[in-house]
Amino acid sequence: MPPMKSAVKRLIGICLSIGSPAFADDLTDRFTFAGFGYQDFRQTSANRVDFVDSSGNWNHNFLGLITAAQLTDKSRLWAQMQASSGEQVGFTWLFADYQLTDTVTGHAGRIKYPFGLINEYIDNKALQLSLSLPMAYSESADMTFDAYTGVGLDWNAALGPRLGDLLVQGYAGNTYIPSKSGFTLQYPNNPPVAMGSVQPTQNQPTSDRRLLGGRITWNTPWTGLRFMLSGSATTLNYAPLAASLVVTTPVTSTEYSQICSVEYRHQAIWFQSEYNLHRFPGGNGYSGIDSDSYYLQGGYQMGNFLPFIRYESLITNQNFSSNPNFYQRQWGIGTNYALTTHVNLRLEADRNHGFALPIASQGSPYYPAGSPIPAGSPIPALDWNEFALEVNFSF
Amino acid sequence: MQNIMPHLTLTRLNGQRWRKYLLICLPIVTMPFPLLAVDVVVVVHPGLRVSRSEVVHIYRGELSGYRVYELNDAHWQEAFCRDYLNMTASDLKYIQDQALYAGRALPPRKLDDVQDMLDAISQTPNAIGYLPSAAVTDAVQVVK
Repeated sequence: MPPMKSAVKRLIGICLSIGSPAFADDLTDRFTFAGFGYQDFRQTSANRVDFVDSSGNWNHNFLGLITAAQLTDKSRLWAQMQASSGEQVGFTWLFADYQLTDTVTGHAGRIKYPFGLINEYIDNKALQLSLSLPMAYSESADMTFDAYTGVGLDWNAALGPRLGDLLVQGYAGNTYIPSKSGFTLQYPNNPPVAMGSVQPTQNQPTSDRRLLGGRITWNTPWTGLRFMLSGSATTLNYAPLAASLVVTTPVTSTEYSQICSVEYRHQAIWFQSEYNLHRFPGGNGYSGIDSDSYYLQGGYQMGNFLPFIRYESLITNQNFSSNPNFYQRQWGIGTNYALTTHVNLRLEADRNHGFALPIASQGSPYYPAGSPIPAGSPIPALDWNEFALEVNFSF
Repeated sequence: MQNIMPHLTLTRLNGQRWRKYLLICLPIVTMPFPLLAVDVVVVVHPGLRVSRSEVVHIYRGELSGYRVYELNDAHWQEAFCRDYLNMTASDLKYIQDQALYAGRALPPRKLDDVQDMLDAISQTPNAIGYLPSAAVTDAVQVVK
């Protein structure tokens, strides 16, 4: 059986070459490994948000390992494995890319959702200025998601030395939301409803989330200054709701997310600002929800220290923008300290007014308008603080 | 006080002699500075066409199809980033890390010394890297 002999010879050849320096060189040449992680301590003065309360805890951590394998001269396989306190162990993303031309690359698989400044590396705290994520990116606010499964195209266009360059990205597929071990989502897993009409429920099943979107990044000719515009439309098909709820008909609707971003990072200065608008028109008996959020944050590098300050605002339902169940404004101040080039310490204190995130994360009880608050039930604090410590690393 | 170098006093020079002294002295005065300054040049595999304006896009991971190398030396990294990219090495690392952790582009491969860089550039058809100008040989091509 000649083919078998040939296969055995090849196998022996591979086995013999594994221990050789040439094989090691080949491995180094074809594979790239990187990783990052963090461990937080967080505590609030009142209210409970994302499993953090006034007792404080070390329950927020993350470890991500990235592998890139060169498949051919024009194609690579990318994967990020993750283990964290909030999600099950698995692949955050896993996709293959193919270089169609010098400036155009195609992707297929589970791909990180290119949305705004932070979403693609949202878990890598080493690439972020502050400890707390901007509220628009919070899982509880549910304005964005981790990744999509489908296809994408990136096009880099040089506009010339006076105009800078553009990165234009387009994608289509289905949204991917990893299994949660503890966090719950507010909507669209929850039907968006007017206060007082229907009590929100958790984890309303959705059958599909078809997605179409894009992002344009303009790297200006001024070093370190860039602007981004991101947008996506997601079609949702709700399963029929439980009979106890007011609305019982299946719903197909589309949610829209847009975010415009600006970043300046050059030498000692780092500034970021974003405005995010999330629209859920509703329909078939559902009232729509518009949510928005913006933040400004800046830092200044002084030796190993990088102190920062942030202001942000979140409204999870613009129909009730003056109701503290649905708004939250926050001042944050803190500092980074670079222990080494790979390890960073962080300290942050936030002052909050309103409790939209505690409500959205179901850390605090929700009382529909007009409903009597049960005796002995905790009432969320309007003004509250959060304190956090972090060590993060990347390699 | 008596002028000890009366022949160099500008007030005593007419226009022609002043220009003559300047032409003689200027190269002598400025000669040491290029030797003191960090002089880095971008090099590619011979025959590879890369313009100076493309260098920034290649190192930011925006142009694919190149094998990109960096010297594992903070001094030369800073010199390269300053002279060719108008940024600090920290700024460049931030951009490269964003591309890596988003799964868009691989970071440049780091080489420990100049000889490794010369070998890598001369032996890899689509290679680009940088070197101290004094180390350039015929085996590589300098990006103008």
